[in-house]
Amino acid sequence: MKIACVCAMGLGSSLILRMTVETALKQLHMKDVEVEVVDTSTARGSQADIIVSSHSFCEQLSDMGVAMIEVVNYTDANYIKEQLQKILSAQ
Amino acid sequence: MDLMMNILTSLISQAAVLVALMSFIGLIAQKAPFERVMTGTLKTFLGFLVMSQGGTIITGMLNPLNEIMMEAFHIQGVIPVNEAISAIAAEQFGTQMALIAFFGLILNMILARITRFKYIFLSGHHTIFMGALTSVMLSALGLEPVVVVVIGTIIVGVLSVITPAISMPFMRKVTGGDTIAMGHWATTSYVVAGFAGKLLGGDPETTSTEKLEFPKWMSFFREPVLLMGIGVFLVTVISCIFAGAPFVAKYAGDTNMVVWAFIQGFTFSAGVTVILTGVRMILAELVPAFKGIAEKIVPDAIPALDCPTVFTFAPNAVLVGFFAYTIGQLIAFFIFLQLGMTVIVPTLLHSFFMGGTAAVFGNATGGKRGAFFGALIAGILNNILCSMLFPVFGSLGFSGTTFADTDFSIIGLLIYSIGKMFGLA
Repeated sequence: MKIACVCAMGLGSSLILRMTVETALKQLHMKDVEVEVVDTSTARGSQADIIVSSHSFCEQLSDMGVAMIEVVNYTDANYIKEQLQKILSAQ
Repeated sequence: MDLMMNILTSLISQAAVLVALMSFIGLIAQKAPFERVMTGTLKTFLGFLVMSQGGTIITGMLNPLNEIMMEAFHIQGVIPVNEAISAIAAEQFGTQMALIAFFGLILNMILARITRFKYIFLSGHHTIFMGALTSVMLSALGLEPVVVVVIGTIIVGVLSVITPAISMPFMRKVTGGDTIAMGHWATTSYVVAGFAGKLLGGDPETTSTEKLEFPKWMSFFREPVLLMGIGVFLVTVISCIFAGAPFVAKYAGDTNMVVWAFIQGFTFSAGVTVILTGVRMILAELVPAFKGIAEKIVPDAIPALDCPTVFTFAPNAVLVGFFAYTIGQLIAFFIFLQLGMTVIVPTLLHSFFMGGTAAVFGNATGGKRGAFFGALIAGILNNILCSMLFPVFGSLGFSGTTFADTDFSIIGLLIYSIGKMFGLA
């Protein structure tokens, strides 16, 4: 599985998201998940299974047809954990 | 034995190797498995080389643009982009930059541990940029490399805990809590925007920007690298028209002037994209390692994050800020022309990041009017400071680009003024 953390430049915010997602994955005991940091333009070609980003970027990428997690607080691992569980149980 | 020493000293004097070594230490400290240590270290090495190449693309593109601007308007125009100037500075000052960034991170942890400023500065790209600024400015004073690294480290380490503390009262209003701090070195302009919102704005609750509705096409403004290309294209094409086709032909050859300008504009974006890829590779291992170690050393640490992390708290304010900051930059532009200062070319990239953040701060203290005036004043202030720093910076042989954010300009000017006081500059 591949999770893409997206922000405008793919430098700061998305890297923070990656660390939060990795914390959540650890709590869920999920291994073999690739978490990558990308900017909005690259995100389209990333072939990710799940996109984690802010509302505006999720909206912009909504036509990709992949599962999305919209965050408000970039460091809230519990929220991402809950959302991941929801997505995984729906699959 | 001599050969060994030769290989070793050659390796250590390479900035790319130094940065890779830092990742290596970080990965080992986190007890990463062997293959992660190897790939992570080599990727950081590759990232530094990629970053430098991006700098070369930008310089190659800026040189003709500078000549054309000079011919057209007899002015020196400067496009301030941190990524560009740092990548260019890395060619000459890479080693000092890397060491300052590394020791700056360590000093950040120590200060967070022993003082009441519990901030861990996680915008690693800004740490690298501040390493670039301090190594250039301090070296220009004629200081020994060791002294440059020591003073640079102190500046980076202290700023890493002080600037989040300064903006924290406003950050509490923005995020409604204490969980995250601002880790972005345009802090002065955000604080100014916060005060401007308080003085000039309305009630933050009832007049919040988040009660406004915006049309959807405006989401175009969320593609900063494209915005940058379009902005540089416009500057190039206007300069080309005023310089005249025969002059431009020196650079463009047979290619149509407008088409050439369009390609130039996006070549700038291409350079920045390459630099971003490089910086991303450098940060991928460094920042998580830093965070992991810092959390052990400073258990009650508050992470200081890059500016767009506050965008989610007031996305509409970001749009207001984009426009207001651009107007601010245009006002500054006319001030430069009037006073004969270095012309800082208005940059839409900064309208997005700094304008957006300034407006989020202004909105938190003064609603939509606070967002507008906060970003407007931030735009004027930032570009005037850039314009004040550039002459100092330009005299060191840098042209066409400079550091973009307020705190960099202020620190640069401070280093220069203090150096002058001691008769160094």
